[in-house]
Amino acid sequence: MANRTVAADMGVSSPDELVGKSDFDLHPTALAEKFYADEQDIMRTGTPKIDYEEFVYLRDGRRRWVASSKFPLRSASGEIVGVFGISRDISVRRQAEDLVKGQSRVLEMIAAGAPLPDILENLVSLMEAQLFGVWGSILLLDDDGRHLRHGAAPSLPGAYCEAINGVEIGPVVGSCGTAAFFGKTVIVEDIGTDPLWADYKDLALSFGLRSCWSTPIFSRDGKVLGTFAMYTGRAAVPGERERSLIRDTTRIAAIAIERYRTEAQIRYIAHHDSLTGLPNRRDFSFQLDRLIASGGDRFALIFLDIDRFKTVNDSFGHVVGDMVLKTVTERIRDSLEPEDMFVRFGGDEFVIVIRGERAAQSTLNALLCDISQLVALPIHFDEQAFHVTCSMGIARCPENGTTSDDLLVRADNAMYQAKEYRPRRVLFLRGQHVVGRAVPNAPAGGHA
Amino acid sequence: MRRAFPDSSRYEHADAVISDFIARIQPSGGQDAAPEIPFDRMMLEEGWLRRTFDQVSDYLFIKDR
Repeated sequence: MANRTVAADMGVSSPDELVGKSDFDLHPTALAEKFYADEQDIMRTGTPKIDYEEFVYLRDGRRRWVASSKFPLRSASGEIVGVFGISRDISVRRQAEDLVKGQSRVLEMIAAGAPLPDILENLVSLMEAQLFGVWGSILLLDDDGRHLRHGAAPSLPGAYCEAINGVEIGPVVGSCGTAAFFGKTVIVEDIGTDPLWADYKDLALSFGLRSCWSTPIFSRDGKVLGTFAMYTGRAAVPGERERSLIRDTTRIAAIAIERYRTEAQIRYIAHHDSLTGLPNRRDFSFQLDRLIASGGDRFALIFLDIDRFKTVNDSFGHVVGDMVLKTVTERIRDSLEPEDMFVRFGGDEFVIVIRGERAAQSTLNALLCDISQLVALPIHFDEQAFHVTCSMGIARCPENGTTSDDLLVRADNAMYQAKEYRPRRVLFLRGQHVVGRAVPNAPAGGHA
Repeated sequence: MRRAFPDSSRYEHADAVISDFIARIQPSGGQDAAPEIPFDRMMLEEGWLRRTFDQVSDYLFIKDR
């Protein structure tokens, strides 16, 4: 037998309806087996089991944590004939403890530099475990400030996440697109009738999503980093508990996203040249070593230097010098393929690595002629136009070396020989011999 | 052991009811002695049992072998 509290949670109107039923009639099998084993142990040993934590599932599927104590029941002759049990609902305390533990775990992940998707997924799962019938989603605002990308949504259907990935924010773009656009929380109680969802309701409703409450995630300086949304399968608005979890989740998400972006920025600065945006020497050494270690394609390494660049700086000043470097960079980048390596090695020195078929002599000659001609096109500044030219030296892997140092030294030497011989020439290393090749059709140099 | 939750500081009335109940269904002498209210008598006095149970908002249950 049981009292009214048990009956209510088991979904029956009277405790009498529970008489004659076993745990196997009322609970999932695994849970019933656990209860049975515990209680058989109490009846076998005669020892009560005091104040331990366990959970039960309610009729609606919710999990409820309880603290239980169970005692053996004896007959008049002292024989153990049953068990008396008391369970106290500790869900609120247990949820609060789980929330604190979970938040600590997520903060530790942030501090340890765990991948952002893992952090956000843990964060959303933590929130979902606190509520019943609520599914979370974090979307990240692109660098362009206009599109939302998938961040984490461990319980939402993958096809739905895919469909909304990349959505452009705006004044009438569901809950998240609108929240990101205005930088304000958007509570939509019924997706089926709210005008904000007019263009998206068919999609959401087809996945059983009925309400969506979205809150912008802000950086410390007030910029929108993304959105955190809670979805439910019925028309609903958030209560105080949900609002509290939204505040906690968005605050931690902001820390995680800001930390990730700051680290990404630091990594970018550490490995890129701030003037041209090209990878710098440090990043290049790593990439080149990896390319050599892979033992894959043959490749050609080109060392390129702007002829008499010092004169540009001395004559026109560093502002013009910087503009020349940026212009030359853009021109060279336009003539390369995405898989080519192109780095600013330092000052006016650049290194290009061309791999595979395009590193073959004839193809490479054509490419270098193009680069030479592009670099030599007029550069306009302050109603003036002038030209610069470049010199290039080439070393091939594996013919001229199989280490990054060897290849760089040889290409650098070839480039200097080209420069001494005559600007706008390209010198190839063939074995140990420098082979000259004039750059055809290159316009004559101007001031430089 | 006469209290279900030794560290409990809440539900004092319920705890008193339950403590009294536990005291009466457990042997006060040796481990194998009969309690004040053995299981067989408890079931005969179901009204008392029901009144006791319904004073408490915690989950209470009895299961026989």
